[in-house]
Amino acid sequence: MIPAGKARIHYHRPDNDYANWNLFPFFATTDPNSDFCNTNDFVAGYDTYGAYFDVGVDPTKFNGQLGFIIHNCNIKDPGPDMHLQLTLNLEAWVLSGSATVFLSQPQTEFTTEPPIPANKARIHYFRPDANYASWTVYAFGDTTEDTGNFNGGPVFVTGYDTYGAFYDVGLTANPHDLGFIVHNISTGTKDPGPDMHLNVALFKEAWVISGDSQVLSTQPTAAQLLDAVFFKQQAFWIDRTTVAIQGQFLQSGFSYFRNYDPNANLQLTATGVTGGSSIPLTPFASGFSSDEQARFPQLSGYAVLHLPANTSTSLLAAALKGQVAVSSIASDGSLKYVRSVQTAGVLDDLFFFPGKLGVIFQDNEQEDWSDASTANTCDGNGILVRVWAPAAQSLNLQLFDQASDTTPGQTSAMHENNGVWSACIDDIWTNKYYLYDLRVYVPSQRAIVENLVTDPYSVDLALNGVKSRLTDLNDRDTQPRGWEESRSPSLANVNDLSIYELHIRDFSANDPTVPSAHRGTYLAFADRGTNGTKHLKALAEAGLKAVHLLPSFHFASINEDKTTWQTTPDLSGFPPDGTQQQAAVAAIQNNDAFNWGYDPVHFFAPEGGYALNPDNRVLEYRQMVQGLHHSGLRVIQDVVFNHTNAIGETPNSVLDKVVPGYYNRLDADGNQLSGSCCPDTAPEHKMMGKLITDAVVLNAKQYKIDGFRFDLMSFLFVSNMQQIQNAREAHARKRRHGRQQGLSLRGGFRFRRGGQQHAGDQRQPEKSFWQRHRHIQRPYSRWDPGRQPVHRRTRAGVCYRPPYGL
Amino acid sequence: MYRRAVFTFFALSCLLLTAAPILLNAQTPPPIPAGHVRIHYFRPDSNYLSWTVYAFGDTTEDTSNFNGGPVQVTGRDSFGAFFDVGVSSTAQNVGIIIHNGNTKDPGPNEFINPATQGNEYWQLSGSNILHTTQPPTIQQTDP
Repeated sequence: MIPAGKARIHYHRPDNDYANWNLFPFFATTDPNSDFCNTNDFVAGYDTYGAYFDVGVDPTKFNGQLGFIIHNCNIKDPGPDMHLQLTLNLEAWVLSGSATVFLSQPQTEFTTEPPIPANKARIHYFRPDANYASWTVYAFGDTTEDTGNFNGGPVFVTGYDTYGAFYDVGLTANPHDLGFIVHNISTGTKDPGPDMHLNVALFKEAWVISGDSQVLSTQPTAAQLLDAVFFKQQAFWIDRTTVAIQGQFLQSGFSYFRNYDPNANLQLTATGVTGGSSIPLTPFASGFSSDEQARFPQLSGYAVLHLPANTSTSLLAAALKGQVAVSSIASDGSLKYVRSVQTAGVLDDLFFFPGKLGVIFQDNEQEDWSDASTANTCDGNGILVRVWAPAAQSLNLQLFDQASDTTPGQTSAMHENNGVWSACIDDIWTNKYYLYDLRVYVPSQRAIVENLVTDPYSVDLALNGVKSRLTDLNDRDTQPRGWEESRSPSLANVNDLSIYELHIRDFSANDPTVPSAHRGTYLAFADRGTNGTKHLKALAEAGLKAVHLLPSFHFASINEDKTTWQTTPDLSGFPPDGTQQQAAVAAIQNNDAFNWGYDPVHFFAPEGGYALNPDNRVLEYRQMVQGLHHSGLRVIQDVVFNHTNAIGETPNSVLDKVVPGYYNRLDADGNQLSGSCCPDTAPEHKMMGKLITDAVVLNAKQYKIDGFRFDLMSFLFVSNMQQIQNAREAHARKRRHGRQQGLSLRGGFRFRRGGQQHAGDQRQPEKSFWQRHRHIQRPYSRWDPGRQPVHRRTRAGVCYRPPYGL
Repeated sequence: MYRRAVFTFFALSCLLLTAAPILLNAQTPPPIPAGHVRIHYFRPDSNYLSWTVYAFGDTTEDTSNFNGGPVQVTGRDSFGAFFDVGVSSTAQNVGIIIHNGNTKDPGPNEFINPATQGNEYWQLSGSNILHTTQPPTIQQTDP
């Protein structure tokens, strides 16, 4: 008996997990419904179908129509509003993922499926977590379904069988190609991403597996199901003690293993993982430690597995140099779970290295950045080359006499000490070129790969960054005359700051008073008496304080070889309303000399496309800074640490070739995130955070840069900014130049990223950097109208000590 | 010329391993200790791993850390799992949240008054009611 004044909504979930799934009632209801997330009807009980909600109703209201949405605040199941005509029925059944309000109890799991209706195809979809809420099929091609609304989710779950959910999709007459995308209409996530196709002239039924873009024409075996998820990096190895897996895969009586193989040849059988070695893992009921929670808040709800307490560091280090998986075996001996592993956390825990990386010349190391490590030094002779590559199985330093050499003149073995590989080489290689040659496991290739790659810490480069260069930034040949003594213009008060945003090439490309070879280059800023520099000087005299230069680190999109540059022909003959001009620009736009440069390849080296001679990029960059300082202007660099131009095994990928899967942010399934536009970096990983700090400090010190504008600062963390500030203050204490005016740090546009699937989301301190506070270092002038001294500035609960700002 | 690092791998036999120590179904639930209330919890998927109780108000449990100071599953019985939660001797208002990390079941804070309601409570997953008498779990015929 349904209680008087109530309607009963039954709800079935194939994963049987009803925690936090509530019913939001509207229209003819007597229950509170003022707040979607917080005023709901809760589960009233369970029967053999599933849970049920008893909803207070008043059939005299809204013509007796009850509206309702079953949801967990974030996800609606399945999405659209649902309705029940109370004047006809006071009881209804909902099947997770289906948009149908059933008026009699539907079958929860068909053992014998209903026949496929005429003019339909059936798509079977398997999710290992059995959670199908909001997962729909969007169809295109030869379909009768609504193709106009991707997020409307035209095809909802039709039913369930022993395999998983199935969706019946309408077909046109004489169909050939059915395109479809399985996606979650609450989060926008596609599973897995690429368009999928079924040849419906031949097949009316297909099976897909979550995470796998293959479309199968027969039902996959249990082994195929495991294979499909094997390479999903859904397990997290976060430190030397702990591995985390999604909570639903922790089951009583199962045994858990961390499998690893330096030959990358792990294979699945029905009873376990073969190849390589394994270490037992033990469920740890107390969950994450507070430190682990702080480092990985996005793993809340994951199950915690511990490695044996006596596992040696050398064993952990060895396991990280190959393919790694986590698996579980049920008490009957069958393999139940296997996933690949994200290892950034444990790499940080075991191998974080605070010292200097890249090329270190012995004569200046002592007064250089603080170096916590005394390991890997050269005993005062030669050049030390050091790279962080804890996952590398071997690493050689290739040295080249000429930038164009294809065969190294010398190859030096590098030696590993706690993840840092180093070599000492003779001084004769100064100003020559080098590459790293390493063997490392690459998850995307599922293999041990030999990577030949430039140094992520390259301070100088061969043309187009094809090789790194052994340049000593303290060498006088890299410094314009008077460089050591030159000073930045002073700035009395942060509130005086006014900024001119400027593109290096645009500044002079069309200035006839600049020597023609200097147009569009760094050197135009050092040419006195040109229209451009005279104008900048006049602006400075009128009160302008700083120039903000668009990206000037080595970026991907301009060929540094000027002979490859193309220009449009004379466009003046085309009619003013013609389309020919745009067509002519489009024809050469990928090969011209212009780009904004928001596609970083090397963070520590200047872009060569702006140099008259790219072999002198360091010297010419300094001439530019010196010229701007002489004009009375401080120099602010636009720095882009939120993404890299490339990842994986592609030509412009650098960091990801040295430590695959570490520097860029992956989502919970191991897919690369690209909310920034491009492969997002992961500054929550310590060595990426250190790289950002090191690059800022190097530019502040070696190029006398006065401020930094951080592109998409919302992708960085408050802690990253604090590290930069701490490093800057430490540097200032060590070298009292007298020119210290403090460093200005400004945040870039706040990007509104769609979806909540980003692994880093819960760590993103977005409100710290919102657009209104674009100049994050500026004190609130409303409260602090320029009075000195500024004792304390608060932003989003974080206090900064002066002189954080200018 | 490669100089390859050599690593020593310690192969561990899977066969030597035993299943993790997971709480087994108790034959007869132990009596509720003095100074405690017992919260019974039913989940239709029978998976109670990582589900814990955070108590606040008139409790003797750690209230300083939602995730780090929870009450673990005390035992299992025919209803589901149960948690024994320490309460002060004159407790009248104890807040209870059943949760797994950031997932609360069902969401709102729940409150009990041991002085008037007794020391034993039952909750169904998804429900916001802490029953003072044992409710049915999966009913063969609907009420």
